Amino acid sequence: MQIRSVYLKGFRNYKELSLKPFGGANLIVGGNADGKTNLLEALYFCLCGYSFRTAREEEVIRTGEDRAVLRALVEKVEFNKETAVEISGRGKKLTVNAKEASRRDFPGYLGTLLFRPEDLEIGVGSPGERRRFFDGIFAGILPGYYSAYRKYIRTLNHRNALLRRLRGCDRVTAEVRAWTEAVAETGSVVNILRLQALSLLAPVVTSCYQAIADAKLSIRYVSSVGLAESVSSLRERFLSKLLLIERAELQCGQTLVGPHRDDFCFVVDGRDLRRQGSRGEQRTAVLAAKLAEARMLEERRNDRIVYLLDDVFSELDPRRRAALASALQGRQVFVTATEPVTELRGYSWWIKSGTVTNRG
Amino acid sequence: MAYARSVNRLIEELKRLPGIGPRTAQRLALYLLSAPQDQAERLAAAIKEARETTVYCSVCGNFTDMDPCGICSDTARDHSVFCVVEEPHDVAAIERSGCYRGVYHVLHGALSPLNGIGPEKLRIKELLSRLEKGGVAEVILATSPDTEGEATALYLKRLLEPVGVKLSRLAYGLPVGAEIEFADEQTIARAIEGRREIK
Repeated sequence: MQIRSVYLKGFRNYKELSLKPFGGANLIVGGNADGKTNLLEALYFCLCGYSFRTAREEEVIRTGEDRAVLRALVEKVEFNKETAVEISGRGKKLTVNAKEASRRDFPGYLGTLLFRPEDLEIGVGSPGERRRFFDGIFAGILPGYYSAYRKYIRTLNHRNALLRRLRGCDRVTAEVRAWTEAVAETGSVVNILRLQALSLLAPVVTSCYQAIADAKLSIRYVSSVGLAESVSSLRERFLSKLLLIERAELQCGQTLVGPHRDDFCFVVDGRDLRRQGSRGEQRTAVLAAKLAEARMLEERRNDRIVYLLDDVFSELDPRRRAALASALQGRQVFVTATEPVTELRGYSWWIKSGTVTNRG
Repeated sequence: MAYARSVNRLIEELKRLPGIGPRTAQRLALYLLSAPQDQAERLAAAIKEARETTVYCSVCGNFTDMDPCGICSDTARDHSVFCVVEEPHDVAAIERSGCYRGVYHVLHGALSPLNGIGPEKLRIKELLSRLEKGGVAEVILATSPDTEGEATALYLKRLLEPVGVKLSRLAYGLPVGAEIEFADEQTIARAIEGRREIK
């Protein structure tokens, strides 16, 4: 998959911009606040149909304009797709080949590699950041994961709303019990799917890590419920755990165990990197996970994907920069940076306050 | 405001209807004003008549213009099988299939704590008192297969188990007459889970 052309109008700090990207590496160079990440966001929008930065998408409309318009020609192995996104005060309109579409119809939906500097910090971050990181990967590599996850979160939100309302009561009502069962049911599906996704991903991550650091990396899923072979046995386990703490949950008004409380950890030669890892090791582990994600997305789609890297190179040492650069070969890549990246051979676009000032 | 007060009032009332935004409300209002007088009056009369003559069936809770409703008072139907649904339009959908001969119970919603809907807001007490009268062999839990409908079914299952009637849930799977390629992943996964041996 490749982006052949892209057009932005009234998007963030861009008044109007047309770009015909290069098929290989595209380096987007500019100072702070010149609009490098905005351009990356626009490209992601054209590939996936939504923003990776904000849930309130009307904030992408340029000040003083009534709408933001994005258009792109995306070339795939089998066919080309013309995607368009229009955001106005009345909401968002997505089209593919001039026909109204949903994000699921977009060529890069759940199949675009996005790598952001904050990803590199997940090793030392909160469990929530690690869950977001891995849930994002799983959604792309395991069909059905995203919808199962969404269903769980919705069920969980209902149960938490109920617990909040009954906060302080000490009698567990039949209504609470019904939502407890629903949470156990939908949560155990998520738990089992995470294990499944991890068993696909982990070997690829291990080999990517080995290529950079010559050590054995594995990923462990730390489940607050526990592990089990099947959905039904896990559901029993989850349910009995919830029943045990229901009263405590009524006291604090929220669900205390489940996939939303789980964690993932990188383990190198038996060491848990969350506690016993250097910053370098943690970053290498994240990089390996990202490269593995990319490889699996390409395998699943039987096509090369588009890579969007936001200011990642400056965060890596020369050895890891080289490893990343070699993984990017032959792909269409968009990399933002404040200065040229020597490891990448390709085309450079210099950006200044929302316009391209130079290219080559 | 650009319109006369009475027109604005009409637009405001139309805007309250589900699925109608300000633009559609304005279009409908202007249409009603420019349409022949009797058309607008027929609409007003139809709304008035429907509101005045339609009540909830005191037995099943469906909309009806006679109480009990046509289904509840039909002696040819099987009154030992209850189909529990969320909304009156679910009754209409199942009736269109023509293959269900039992009676209904309309809950008027599903459990949804995020919207402040608990069991006390659904017609569950009425269901229990109907079951207490006896003579019921099976209750089909036909709430929607979404988050709220599933939780409602779980709630009813716990509640009805002690009553000692047979409980069932509608099957999940592929829509008949549709092509597999258009079904979403979850539907296909459910259909494979619930596959049946061909005998």
